[in-house]
Amino acid sequence: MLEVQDKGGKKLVFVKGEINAQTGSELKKDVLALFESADSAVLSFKGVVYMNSSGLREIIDLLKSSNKAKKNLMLCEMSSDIREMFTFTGLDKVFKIYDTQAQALG
Amino acid sequence: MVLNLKRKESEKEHRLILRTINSLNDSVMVVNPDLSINVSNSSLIDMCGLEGRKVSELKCFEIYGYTEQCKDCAFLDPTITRSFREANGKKLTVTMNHFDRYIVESLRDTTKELKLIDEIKKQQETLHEKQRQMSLLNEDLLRMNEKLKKAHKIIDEELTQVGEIQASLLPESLPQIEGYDFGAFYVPAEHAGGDYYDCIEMSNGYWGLGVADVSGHGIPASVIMAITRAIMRSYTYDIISPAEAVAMVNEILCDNIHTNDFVTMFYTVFNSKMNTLRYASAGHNPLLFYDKSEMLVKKISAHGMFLGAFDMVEYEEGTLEIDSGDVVFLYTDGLNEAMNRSRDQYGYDRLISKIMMFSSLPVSEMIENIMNDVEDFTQGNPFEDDITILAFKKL
Repeated sequence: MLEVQDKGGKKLVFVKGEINAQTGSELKKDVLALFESADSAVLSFKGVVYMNSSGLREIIDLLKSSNKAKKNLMLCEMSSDIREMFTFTGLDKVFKIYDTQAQALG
Repeated sequence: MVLNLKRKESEKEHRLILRTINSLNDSVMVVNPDLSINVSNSSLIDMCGLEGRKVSELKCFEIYGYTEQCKDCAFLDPTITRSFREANGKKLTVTMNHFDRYIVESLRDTTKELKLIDEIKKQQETLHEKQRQMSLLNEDLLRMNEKLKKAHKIIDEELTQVGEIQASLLPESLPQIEGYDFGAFYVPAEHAGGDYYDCIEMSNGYWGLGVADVSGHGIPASVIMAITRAIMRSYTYDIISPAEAVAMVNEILCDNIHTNDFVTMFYTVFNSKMNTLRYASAGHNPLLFYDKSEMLVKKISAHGMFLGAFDMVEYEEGTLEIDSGDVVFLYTDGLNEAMNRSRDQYGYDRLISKIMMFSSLPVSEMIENIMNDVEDFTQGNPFEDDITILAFKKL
């Protein structure tokens, strides 16, 4: 299960391990469930060791659903590899990505 | 005196017999041929609820509440030795023995035993009924399993057909361009995949060369792959700016694909006369460029979003100059992310070192060697993703 902390109305979610089609889909479901009681969620990628394109697809899907529900999704603490993946794919322009938890929680 | 003594002796024996039969838990009565009760014990009174009644004045059948001789009386049929009666709300098992002219009946209260037997019988019936239902369910399951097997087979066949159609969408032959050597490789993870590569000869002499990877696998991915290929071969035909071409593909895909699928693509436009390659990337892995003059492999990329996810996106574009011995290596992430059983990835370091190692070989042999190395690395672990390679070298 996901580790979630409450940070002044924002949910801080610690994502761990691999983000693939299956874990990505579970993450999406869990975060959308969090949005039923919160308007903002920050996903910390500190514990993510690997993400493939299927996993990325689920994260994009999560962003689209969040935008539709007018919820605020933020990402932080990405490894350089994953950050590079977001930059090269231009996803850094559609996602709110922060270096640290503190910056994301603002 | 003697007679008196004998009578006393006889009375003594009679009392002994009475005491003996009164100490029995079972009820006992001795029945005369006229069906009157000769003698009985106290258990009979308790068992049959005869308190306050003179048993010696009753006929044996009256004990059981009958008004006439029982139908299975042992006096009627001497072979009968056991029977069942009811009295005082109890179920009694009666054992009948002939002694001389008399019948000795011993009655045992078997209410509990019979009730137990009844319950066991009921449970057995329930069990039988459940077993019957189970066997019906089992038959249903077997039938469903058969249907599922058939359906699975049909789906499998259809997937294979989709795979065949898809394979036919790949270029029949690689470009034959003087001074250049081409090679390609394609293997889907399932019957039908979401990868493809294409080599489009434009009317202006340029070549459109690209690899693409649709998110997901199976039929949905292969349909999107076919749509993307069709767009590339119609709308963007003759467009020599790869950035412009992928932006156009993105708009059309966004307008037409309303699922959450998207496509990554590395698209290049090759001018073989000028030996230049213009490139754009739609969220795809970097192109690997072996620069022979520097003896190293460079990761070449350009900023750009996946196709079909967000509209109104701009794409960066770059240009490479290709000299003799240089290798342009396009691929999908199934290659560098191929995993062994410990879930380690093949990775860029291995891939880059192999491209350098085999750069002097014909491109098809270079690809073959690389794929052998990938298979050595994965040790039979099946590929989780499609793998596509399109590469060429300036001779």
